[in-house]
Order: sequence, then structure tokens, then C-alpha cells
Amino acid sequence: MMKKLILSVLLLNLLAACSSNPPKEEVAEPATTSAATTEAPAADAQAATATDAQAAADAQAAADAQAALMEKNSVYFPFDVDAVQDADRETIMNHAEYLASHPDAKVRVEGNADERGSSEYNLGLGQRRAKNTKRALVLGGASDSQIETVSYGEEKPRCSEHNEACWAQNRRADINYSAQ
Amino acid sequence: MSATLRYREPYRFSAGMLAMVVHVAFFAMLVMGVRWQTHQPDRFSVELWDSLPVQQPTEEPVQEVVAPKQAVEPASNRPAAPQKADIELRDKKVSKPQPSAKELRQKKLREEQRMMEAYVEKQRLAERERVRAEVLAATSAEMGRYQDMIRSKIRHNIVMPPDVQPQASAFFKVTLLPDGSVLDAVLLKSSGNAAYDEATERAIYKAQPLPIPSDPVLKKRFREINLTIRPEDR
Amino acid sequence: MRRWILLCLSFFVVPAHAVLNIEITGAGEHQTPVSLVRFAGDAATAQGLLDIVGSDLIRTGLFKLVDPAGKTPHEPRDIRPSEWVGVEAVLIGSIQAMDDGKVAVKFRLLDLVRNAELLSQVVTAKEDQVRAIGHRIADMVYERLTGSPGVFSTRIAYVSRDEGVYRLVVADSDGDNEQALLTSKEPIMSPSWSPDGRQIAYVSFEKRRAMVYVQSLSSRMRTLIADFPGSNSAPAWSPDGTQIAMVLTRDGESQIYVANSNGGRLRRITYSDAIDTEPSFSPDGQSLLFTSDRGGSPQIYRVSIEGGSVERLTFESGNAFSPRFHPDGKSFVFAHFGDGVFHIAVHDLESRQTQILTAGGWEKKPSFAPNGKMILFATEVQGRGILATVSSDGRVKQKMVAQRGDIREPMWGPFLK
Repeated sequence: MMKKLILSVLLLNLLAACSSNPPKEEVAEPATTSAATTEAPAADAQAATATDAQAAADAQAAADAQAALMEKNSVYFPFDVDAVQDADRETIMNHAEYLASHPDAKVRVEGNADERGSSEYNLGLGQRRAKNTKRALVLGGASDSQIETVSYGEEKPRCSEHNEACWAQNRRADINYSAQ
Repeated sequence: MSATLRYREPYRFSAGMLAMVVHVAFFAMLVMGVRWQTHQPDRFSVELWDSLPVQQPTEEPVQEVVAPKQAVEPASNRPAAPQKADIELRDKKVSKPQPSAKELRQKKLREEQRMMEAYVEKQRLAERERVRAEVLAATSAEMGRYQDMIRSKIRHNIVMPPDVQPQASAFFKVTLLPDGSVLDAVLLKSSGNAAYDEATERAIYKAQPLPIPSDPVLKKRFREINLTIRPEDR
Repeated sequence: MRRWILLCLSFFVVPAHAVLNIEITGAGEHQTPVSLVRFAGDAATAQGLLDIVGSDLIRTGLFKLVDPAGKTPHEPRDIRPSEWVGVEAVLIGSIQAMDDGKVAVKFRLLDLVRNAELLSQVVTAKEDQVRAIGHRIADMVYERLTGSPGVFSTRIAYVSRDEGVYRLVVADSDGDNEQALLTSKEPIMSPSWSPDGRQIAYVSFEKRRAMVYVQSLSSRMRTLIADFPGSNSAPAWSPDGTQIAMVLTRDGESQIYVANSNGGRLRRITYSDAIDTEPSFSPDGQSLLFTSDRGGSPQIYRVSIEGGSVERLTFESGNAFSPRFHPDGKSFVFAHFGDGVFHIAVHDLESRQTQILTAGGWEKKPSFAPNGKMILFATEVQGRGILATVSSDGRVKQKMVAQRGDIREPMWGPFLK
């Protein structure tokens, strides 16, 4: 756990040296990663010196890793629970640290719930999940003003089956980066 | 001659007529009552004998009274108790014991007769009580049966309006004709729910002809009935 | 002398039996058999009226329609009771065209069992308002035979979702005559009728989060009345139409606030760190029912409109959501969730008894019809969202299915004056 933390901190530091575009709002598709990979040689080719190329390669690799880490921008909750779970600590930290190091970045945390409640109660539950996720991010280094919390309740489910596999997917908070 | 005021009974003639009518009625009731009380006596005859038939000699005349079956049978089976006396009669020529023996015989016969009559009368009374009780039971059973049928036929015809309070209760006085049809059904006490009042009234009319007994005595009791109609048991 | 006469006469008195008293409880049936005879006059209009009145009465589950079998009386004198065996009431009438494009519909409702005239009325309206006339007649027949006002002339509101397009819809209580008030690519929730039936408050996500709007049905003009940070939702009108209760998360948690119907003069009613939501005004406007999980699980509570102490009302195992008062204020309907199933239930405030009315499913968002006799709610059949009604005694059930997509979030509108 500690090792991963140190590694990510190191990588983030590397990123700080480079300008980079924040990842898209939607969950990053595998295609993006491959696109990034294909871009790397092109970027490489453009670089004149070996050190520049190396630095650029490192930066891109870091961007890839960043994107890969940020792909996971949803945290999940057990039934009727709104506290952030330990399993999502890493995800939270990734985003918290990103936000901490990018004061201009803004996110919307969108809370959701499964259908086993009234639509209004679920709106409230989603809002609570968003709020707790925000608090975790702030504890992880993000600042309050960077994070907006909203709720979609049960109105934007990822699936619609009446079973636990589907419900588990819908009990979540999504961290979405606003376009600048 | 003095002008004494004499109170003249008013309506004297009418009073007299009424008195006579009442007396006649009383007498009629008495006669009818007695006649009603009396019924045909059981068919058995009593024979008084001077001489006894030579038949079963028995020592105890009391036996006959105790054994009911034998008592009802013709007197010909009666044992010749006085046989002894008879023998005495023949043997002795004394006038005194002779008439006393005869008298004794007759007295005994009369007593036996009386006891038998008393016993029979007792039986008859008991029988009449039994019959009366049976008739009464049958009557109330019959009455109950018809009340059940009326209850069930009207209930079957009730179309319940929605949301009637369980405590609602409609009370009707219904007049029936001898064929069971409804002359009128008057709502004496509303249930508080007009729709329920009307629905129950409709049910009473729809249930015509109501089932009533054919026996004239019982039928009379169904001429007017009170109906209490509720959505459910309290 | 008179005394003696009386005394003698007294011997003639025959001992009388007491009058028979018979008690009857229960019923044979719950559906009144009625016959509807096509009115005299324009054939198309008459048939249209017949269809509307017939389907309205049938939908209540309280009537059995008996075919007149070729008989066409238009006046009471044309009716021979012997020809109508089994029919308790018959509706007859005539349609007369009037000068200014209007029609006058005269009708009578006759009780064939008690031989009485139950209704004799005239309804006048524009020629093209056949449906409205039909609903009006059905309302009067229903009221005369059951004692309660009919709701056939009322309207309902709901949200439809079809291939990613959301619509806020208002329709007649039979689902006919749909009107879309709003079309959006983002979700719409919780439509709420104003007491005069002229406005609807609702939640729209068109600005990417929940905000409360109030829209006029006639002018289509709308006002955004709550866009505080976080979620703004669950609008509920006060009985006098001057105020709206809402749920705002502006102070952190979902809490209940009340504002004027234009959004001004906002004040907070509940103070808890729980989710307090779904406020519903009592008919006397003095208290609010709401859903709260302050006790650990979602249950129904009541609070005075002035704020203050909160009283818990539901104690059954499982969760309770979405309370809405009965028009008489003595009970409320809610959605009970237990053992993985939603049921529609009614809780009586006096006896504190809860009665479950439905078989169970994904049954949510119940609301009473304005006569308190029926409950409208959202449910699901084969994965599709539909609307359904159940009578307040649980006996009669109906379904309303959209042609396409899902329908949800219904609310029954008020009596229209």
C-alpha cells in the first residue's frame, strides 16, 4: 500500500513538470489508452534530443498511468450506506492528489442509489454519498471549492435489472471533471 | 208521589245486552274449554259382575294397577279375587256376610276402576304435555328455518356500496302479503349512509317473494317483520 | 259500570306474539347492475357518450353493465320493469342540438327496484366536448349510486420516459387526452398539483442537477423557484395554494423547507442530520407528513408547520416512504418496503392501524384521488413502468399502460371547479 502511494506521488511529481490535459468526463475507455500508446512513438519522433525524448516518454507514460488510475472514478457503497468504503481509498486518493496538485481543476461528484427506496429518498441518499465522497477528497488534499456535489438518485442507473449485481453498480458516486 | 229524584241508569238496555252477551260468552268459553280439555276416552269397558268368570285366580288385586298393560285390557282378564268370597257365599247362608261380600266386591271393583282411571288420566296428561312440547319445538324450529331463509335471501340481494362504515345499521319495518311479496318496506332508522339505505331497501324488494311458512298459524307471524341490516357482525 | 265493561272485555284479549326481528349482515355482491341506453339524438354523439359513461363506471369496479338488448326507452313511461330483470338502475336520455354550436344533454337515472327516479339533469356544453359531458354524467351517476363524488372529470400528472426522452405529462383520469408540459433529455421527477389544478410544481435535471420549477398549465410559463447548491426536490403545495414545501440540501443534509409559491420567504422546518424528505401537507395545512431515516431506517413522521417536535407514525418492520394524506386528513397512504417488495399501504391516524392494499411489486409514489376512494401509484409489469389504481378498500384494481416507454412518478389532480 505504502509503496503504491510513494510511486503515485513520484509519478504525479513528474507530471507536474509537464503540461497535460485533464482526462475526459466519461469513464476512460480502453481505446484511449491504446491511443495514448500510439501517440507516444509520434511524440518521441518529434523530440530532437534523446533526453527530451526520454523526458517526453516518461511524461507520456506518467499520463497513461494517470489516465489508467483516473479511469476508476467511481466509488461504491453497500445497501443503504453512504460512508466511503476502504476499498475505494485508492481511488479517492488518486483524485484527491490530482486535485490538490491542480488547483484549477474542478470536479462534480454525482451520487447515485439503487432502486430500493422512493425516488426522493434515493435522491437524498445519492446526495449524502456525494457529500461523503467530497469529504474524503478534501481530507486527501483537495480543496472544498474544487468539488461540487450533486445527486441523481435512481434516475441514471447503469443497468435496470432487479438483482444485486445491478444494484451494486448503481450504488455509487462518480467523480467527473468539469470541462474548463 | 213525592217528586223524589231517582237516578235512572243510563244505557240500561245496552248494559243489559252487554251483560247477557258476556254471560253467554263466558258460558261458551267454559263449554268450549271443557270440551277441548276432554277428548275421546280410551276404548275400554268396565263390567260389573255378580258372578265371576272362572279364570286366573290371583291373590293380589294390586298387581293389576301396577302393570299398565294389563289394566287397559278388557276386564275379562281380571282375576277372580272375589272367588273366595263367592265360595263363602255359597257355603254360608248368612245374609249379613253375603251382602257385605257383594258390597265389598263392588267396592273393590269401583276402587280399582278409580285407580285405573286416575292412572290412565295421568298418562294422558303426560302424553299431552309431550305432544305439546314437541309441537312447540317444531314450531320454533320451523320459525327459525324461515327466518334463516329470509335472512339469506335478502343478504344475497344486497349490493354493497363502497366504503360503508362497519357500524352502519339500517332498520326497516316490512309488511308482507300472504304470498311472500312485499307490501311495503319502511326505513325507520337510517344507517347514516344514504347509498347503503337505498341498497338494502332494493335488496328487500329484489328478494320477493320472501320465503314464509305455509301453515296459517305460523304465516300470520310473518305478516310484519323488523329487519336490522348491517355490513358486518359487530 | 265502564270499569266492569273494561274488565270483562279484558278477558277477550288474546295473548300476542312479539314482532319478528331479523338481523342481516353482509352482502351478496359489490357491483350494482346498471343498464345504459343510448340517448336519443345524434347517433355519433350518443354512442360516444355511451362509451365514456360505460367505461368510466366499469373502471370503478362497482358496476356491472347489463346490455339493454335492443330496448331503447328514452322516457320513463317507455320502461316496463318486467323487461329489465336483474337491472337495478337504468340511464336514459336525449341529446338536443342548440343554436350556438352547443348541445343540451338531458338524462334520467331510474331505480327499477324501488320504482324511483334517482336523477333528472341537463348538461350543456360545446358540441366537441363529448368526452367532458360523458365524464360529467358518469360523475353524477356514480355519486347518486354510491354517495361519493365521482372523479371522472379530474386529471392526473406523470413522467414518461421513452428512449432517453423525458416528458412531463398531464392527462384525463382515464389516461386519455395527454398533454406534454415539458420535454427534456434529462430526468424529471415528483410532479405536484396545486390545489386549484392550474399549476404543477416539479423537479427537472435539465441544468444537470435537481431544481424545482412551477409551471402554469394554461400559459405554459414557468418559474424556477429553487436552485440552491446540491439538490432541490420534492415540492408539495399547501392546501390554500400559497406555499410550497421542498427538500433542499443547501445546508448539508436533505432537509424540509417551506417557501411562498413563488419561492420567496424560505424558512427551514426540520433540523436533523438525517435525510428528511417527501413532505405532504395535511388538509388543514397545519402539519406535514414526511419520510425520514433519523431513527435509523426510512419511516413516516409528522411535524407541525411551525416546526418543532417531530412524531414518528410508522413502526412496522421494513421501510416506509412517500406519505400522502387522505382528503379527510384521517389517514395517509404510503409505500411500504419489506422483504425486498414494495406494497401500497394506508395508515389510519386514529386507530394507528396499517392496512396493506396491494399484492406487492415495484409499487411507488401513491396518491389519493380527491374523493379518497382510489389510489394512483407507479408499478412495473414485465420490466416496463406503468401506472395502476387500487380502491381504498383494496378490492378493485386497474392498470394504465403507455403505448411506448415507461411511465412513473404519478400524482392524482384535484377536483376542478
